[in-house]
Amino acid sequence: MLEHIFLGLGNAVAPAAILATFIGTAMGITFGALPGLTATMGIALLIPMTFDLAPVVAFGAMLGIYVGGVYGGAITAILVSTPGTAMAAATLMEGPQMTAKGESGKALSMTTIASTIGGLFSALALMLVAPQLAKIALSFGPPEYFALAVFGLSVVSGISSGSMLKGCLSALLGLLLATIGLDPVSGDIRNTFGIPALLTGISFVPALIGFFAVSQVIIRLEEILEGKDLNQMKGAVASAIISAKDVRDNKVNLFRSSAIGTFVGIIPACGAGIASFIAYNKAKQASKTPEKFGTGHLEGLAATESANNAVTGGALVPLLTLGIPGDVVTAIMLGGLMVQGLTPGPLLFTDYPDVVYGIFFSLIIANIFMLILGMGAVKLFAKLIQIPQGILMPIVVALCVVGSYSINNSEFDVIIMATFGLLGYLMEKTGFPLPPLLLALILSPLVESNFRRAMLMSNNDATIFLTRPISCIILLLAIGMVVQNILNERKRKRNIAAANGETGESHA
Amino acid sequence: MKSKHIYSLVLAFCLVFSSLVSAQAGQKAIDNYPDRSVTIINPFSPGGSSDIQARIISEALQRNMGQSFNVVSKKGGAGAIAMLAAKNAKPDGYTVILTCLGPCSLTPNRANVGYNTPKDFRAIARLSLFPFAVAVRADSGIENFNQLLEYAQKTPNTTFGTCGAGLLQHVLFSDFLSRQPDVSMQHIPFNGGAEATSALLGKHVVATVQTASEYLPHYKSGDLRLLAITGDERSPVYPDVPTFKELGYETITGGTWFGFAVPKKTPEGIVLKLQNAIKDALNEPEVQARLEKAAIPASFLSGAELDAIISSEYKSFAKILKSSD
Repeated sequence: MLEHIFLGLGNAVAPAAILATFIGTAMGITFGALPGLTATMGIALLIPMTFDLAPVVAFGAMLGIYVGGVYGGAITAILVSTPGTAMAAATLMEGPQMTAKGESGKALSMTTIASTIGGLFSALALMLVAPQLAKIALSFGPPEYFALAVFGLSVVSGISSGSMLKGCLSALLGLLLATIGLDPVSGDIRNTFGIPALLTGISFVPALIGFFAVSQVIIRLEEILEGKDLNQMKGAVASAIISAKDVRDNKVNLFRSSAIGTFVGIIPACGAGIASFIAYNKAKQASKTPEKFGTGHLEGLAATESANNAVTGGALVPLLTLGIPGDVVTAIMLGGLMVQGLTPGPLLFTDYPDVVYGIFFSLIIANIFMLILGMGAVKLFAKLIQIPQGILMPIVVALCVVGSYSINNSEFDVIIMATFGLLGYLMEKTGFPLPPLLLALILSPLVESNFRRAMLMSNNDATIFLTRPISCIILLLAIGMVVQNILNERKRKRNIAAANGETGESHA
Repeated sequence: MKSKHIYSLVLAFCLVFSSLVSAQAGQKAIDNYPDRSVTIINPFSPGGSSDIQARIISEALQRNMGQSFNVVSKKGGAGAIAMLAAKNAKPDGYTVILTCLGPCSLTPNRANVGYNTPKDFRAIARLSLFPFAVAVRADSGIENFNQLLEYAQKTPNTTFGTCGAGLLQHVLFSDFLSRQPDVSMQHIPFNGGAEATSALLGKHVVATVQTASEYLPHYKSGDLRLLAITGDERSPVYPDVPTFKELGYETITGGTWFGFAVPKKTPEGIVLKLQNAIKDALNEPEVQARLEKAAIPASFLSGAELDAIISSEYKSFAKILKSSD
């Protein structure tokens, strides 16, 4: 055992492996940050080059891209509200607002540190308890997935503060839009209006980019037409980074969010998106200042970023122990392992323990490189925001167009992007919160298909959700979450009313 | 009168000459092929087994033909997006699609997607053939395929999972069940093979019908038992698994194949050139070793042979999908 650990460590710190991990991480951050280039593409491009490399060297590069890609997505999300990857969806709730306040340096440095903590936490979890954790992954069948997705949807009640009703409407619109495409159970074609490009549904990343980035550009444009001065943000503030105290204050938050991310990552097919939203909501509930969430709050960002990077180690658990990839990126890594003649699954640990430990250590090393590269780049990236809006905005639009086209090399995706940009603008103008729609779009396929699968399994007996213990517990937690959010909201409104009442009285 | 003759003579001359020139230009294009980079369209996600095959072969073609072969993913629309892009490309051999059974015969028979495979495409060569297999957990107490059918007869709502609704695995096994008068099973479609496998391992479904390669790690570890496999012969990877044929059953197809195709009007010379290059690549020991490591069952067929398979499958899927409506 100890021998294998040392052999693995030796594999991971060999010069070739270190170099591969470093290049991979740098490439991952770049691919993650640029909309249109994804970690998935990066790893796919890499695979033919790894045919003749040692397994740990090849995997070091792939893990670097994976880890760097999840982190890099947040950079563009924070700076220009154009997420480079779908995994950075939740980043949009706090990141762009912090930039608007001139705190982009703080936001980026917190993202870097939170991502590293999340990544390292999950790497340790993977290393120490992977085989035991794999059992959890298998205990999740359709009813449990349904319950988890409902739990995710209940987060809507927490991220639409101010107007829960409008938040719910926004989520419902998201659920409706998600029905476009092939019916997941019968395979029938739904709501595609005869457009073949819609057969597989609305492409998520183009929708995300349009919804958040293009809508913002339209709003800025409108502000320019109204004659507002948009260059009032000062760069001096932008490059300030977080202090040690900021990290200490978020200690519990960071670990809780990392644990949530790792856990959700272990369950195949749930993904980083949900993990961040759940961690965000938990952080808000536990926070002393929940009213600041959504206005560019460091706590919220710490939660989403540590959670989505913690998914990386979690997702490797089912991949390595069961040969079951949890998302597209790990699916490609499965291909990468197979090309090496290594078949992931129960036998990998007994047949190639030195490779497995080498992979664990490479993951840790990739996270350390991410920290170094990220902190080094923070000041540079933060200055991006000093570019005059009149120049930055057209660049953002160009990025959006290129980004949505190149995900699937599809012209239609550009139309999707533009349509969602308009939708996002209209919703913003009428006071409908955007994140619930996004969350619903992510979760709808999970909710619908797992509900119907579970009903098929039980011969249309809905009690299956309550008789299976895990599913029942998760559903109860979801109800608890909604109730707590409603109570918090009421309290907040009462406080505001009381405060208004007081000032009213004092005026009188 | 005479001047008219001269005109016609000149005209005829021009016609002959121009057709000669264009024929020569055509021949030149074939001889020089490829004189710039070639695009290979992959209808699925980068990194999937189609992408890995495309990249292994393109690397060999690049080495042997001296031009780069770039793999571009155009996923979506159950393969229709990529097929349409290939159909509308210039028929000059510089845009090639790595397609498979689904986008060729299943998708266009399910919805009006704007192409008819036998009419709009011609095949260059088949690369690989993936058989499908039925599996249960090793601790399920079901030892062979007939026991599974008996179990399904006795137990109402016996479930089988596949990688998705309306996909080949589903169509194949539903068609099989429809021909077994006393057996009925409940289909549970999952989102991809990985989810289906994990549901089988976690005891959420009784059996699954999937591409055999999906089972490999769990077959090796002994957690899953494969009961029957499609195809004419047993797979060398799963030598103890009987074929449906051996068990006395028929399936609509022997498995899903992957192969290259181009727009119908692509010149014969270019198609043959590519076909031979692919054949040579598949004979290289290095390429063979890579495909084997990646669990891709290479299986070459010429363009003409693959064309014949496509037209017959296109017809049979049209029939089955119509009857199931």
